[in-house]
Amino acid sequence: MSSIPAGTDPGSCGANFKNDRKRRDKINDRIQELLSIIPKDFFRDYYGNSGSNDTLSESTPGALGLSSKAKGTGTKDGKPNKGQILTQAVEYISHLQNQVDTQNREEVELMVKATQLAKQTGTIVNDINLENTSAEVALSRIGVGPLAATNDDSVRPPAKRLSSFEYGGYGEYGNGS
Amino acid sequence: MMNNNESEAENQRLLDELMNQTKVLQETLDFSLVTPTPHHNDDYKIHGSAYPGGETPAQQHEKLSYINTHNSNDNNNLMGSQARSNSQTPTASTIYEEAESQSSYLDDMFRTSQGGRPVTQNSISSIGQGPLRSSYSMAYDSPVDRAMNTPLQQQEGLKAELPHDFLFQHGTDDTMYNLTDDLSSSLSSSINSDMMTPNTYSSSFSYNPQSLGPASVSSTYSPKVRSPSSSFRAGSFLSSSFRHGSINTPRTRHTSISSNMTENIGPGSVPKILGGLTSDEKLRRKREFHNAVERRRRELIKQKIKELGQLVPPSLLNYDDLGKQIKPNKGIILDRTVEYLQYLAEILEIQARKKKALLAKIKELEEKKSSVAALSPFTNNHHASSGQNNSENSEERIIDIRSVPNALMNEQNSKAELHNWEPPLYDSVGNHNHAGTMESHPHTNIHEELKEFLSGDLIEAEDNAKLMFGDDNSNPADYLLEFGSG
Repeated sequence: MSSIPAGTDPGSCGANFKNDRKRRDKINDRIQELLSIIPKDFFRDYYGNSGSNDTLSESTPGALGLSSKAKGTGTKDGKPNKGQILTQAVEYISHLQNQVDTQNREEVELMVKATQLAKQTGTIVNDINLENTSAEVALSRIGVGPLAATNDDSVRPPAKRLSSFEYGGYGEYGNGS
Repeated sequence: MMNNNESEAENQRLLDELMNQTKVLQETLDFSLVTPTPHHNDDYKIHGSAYPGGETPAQQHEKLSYINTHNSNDNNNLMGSQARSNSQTPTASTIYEEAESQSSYLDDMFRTSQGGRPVTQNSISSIGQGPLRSSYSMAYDSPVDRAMNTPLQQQEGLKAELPHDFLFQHGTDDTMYNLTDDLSSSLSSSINSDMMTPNTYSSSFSYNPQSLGPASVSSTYSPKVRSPSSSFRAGSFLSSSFRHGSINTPRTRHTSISSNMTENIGPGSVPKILGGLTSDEKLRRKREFHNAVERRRRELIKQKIKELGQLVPPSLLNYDDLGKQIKPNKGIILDRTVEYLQYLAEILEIQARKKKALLAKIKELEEKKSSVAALSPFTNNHHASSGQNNSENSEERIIDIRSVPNALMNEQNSKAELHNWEPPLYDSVGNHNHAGTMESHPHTNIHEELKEFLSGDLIEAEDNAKLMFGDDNSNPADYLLEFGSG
């Protein structure tokens, strides 16, 4: 699926207008999709009375007075507006990245402990990867982390794959870049 | 002295202004010359009222008393009959009392607000905050407006009965209400002063249609006087809207202002020039405000999309689904953001699974370790390993035994060598003493030289003996003696 629209004729205004409208609708759809992915806790400030929002947006002419001002501005149907969705998307990505880092550190500690116990008991552990963490293995497939440069084929991929990543485009430049 | 001089100067200026206005009205000259004068006076009054906090009520009282005196004198001059002047006096006193009450409220508010903030910030914030609060008060306090409408109608009725004296009354009213408007605009920083402001505005506006009826001269005069104050209020509204940064306020204020003006327009008709100018200014400021709000919103959305572009890894952002390199734009950034969020959630799930597996493996290994210690065949191995440890300990002891005696033996050997070398020294010394007794002077010199020579050779001989001969100790001595004699 190509995310860039096809080349447009510079002469025809109708085609440019239609393509520009298509692009704008696509951007708005993606923003609404972000709203569906992000959990509701991140938008609690925008619905409650204690939130102080600097974002400006369309207002409802019917709701006037102090209560409307304290509640904070939102769209007509009560959903957060585009600025608020994008702001919370930035915060949610940072939150997820911090969570991955925290679990990565815990996994490293468990791997070290398992290695020591294996040496003490003389047992060989070959059903779990004790050299690399799962996050490092997974992120190397999109060119992130310490294993991005050396992506081995021997590493077993995770059991479940996302449909968008099964297309096959990511395996090529994982080795190149 | 300074206060008195200032008050006297202001009184004289007021007197001159009133005299000029009366002359102009009587002579029906052009009013373009007179228009800048009250503006200058207004500026002077604003600055004068801002700096001294305690002097304002005294000055106001003196001004009002002086105006009252002048009013009575002028009435005598113009009319001639005392009966009409007596009938006018209560009306003027009523207006003056009302002005005094307003000024007292404003002065109290100014005193309370003066201590908290500097003068400049106070004026700026008061100008900004006044219209907002006044709009709320106008929206909710309808009984106050009803109470104010009744006395205004009574005053209008009284003025209609006396058309000849109205020319002078019009001048005094303009002067007084300009003063009150200035005070209210500069001092409006609390709810009480905000409640006074809209009443003053509506009352000052309501006089225009009444004054338009009787004479064309006053009709040409009043719009020019009103336009600067209306533009001033519009400017303050714009600043307040920008400061609070919300869209609800300007719409509310527009609604309240338009409703208020429609109510006030009832008795008379507003001149078209003033109405057109006001509506044009309103539309223009509304458009400017809306453009600023939209610009701010677009900038925010653009900035947030840029931040998302920085958070998503570049290897994922700069390539298309087909692996072709592209330049990111808003649509692509949002696409990759959605995919990256889903992928991070997947990674968290993988981490949770591996953590669970690691914990299970660690538990299994710990159980195996504990079971190893309990079994009997491994006990023998443990005993064997303990035996090995004992042998290692014995080896260490052997090493210790060897090291310590070696040091002791070395020390003994060195002492023995020192002991062996002592007798030759004594023998040579004895021989030398014996030779010395026969020849005293030259043998003494030979003795010293011999000592030096023998000491050097002794060290060298000792080294050679250690290397070549282990047991023979007398041989180097004999060699040295022969060499010394030869």
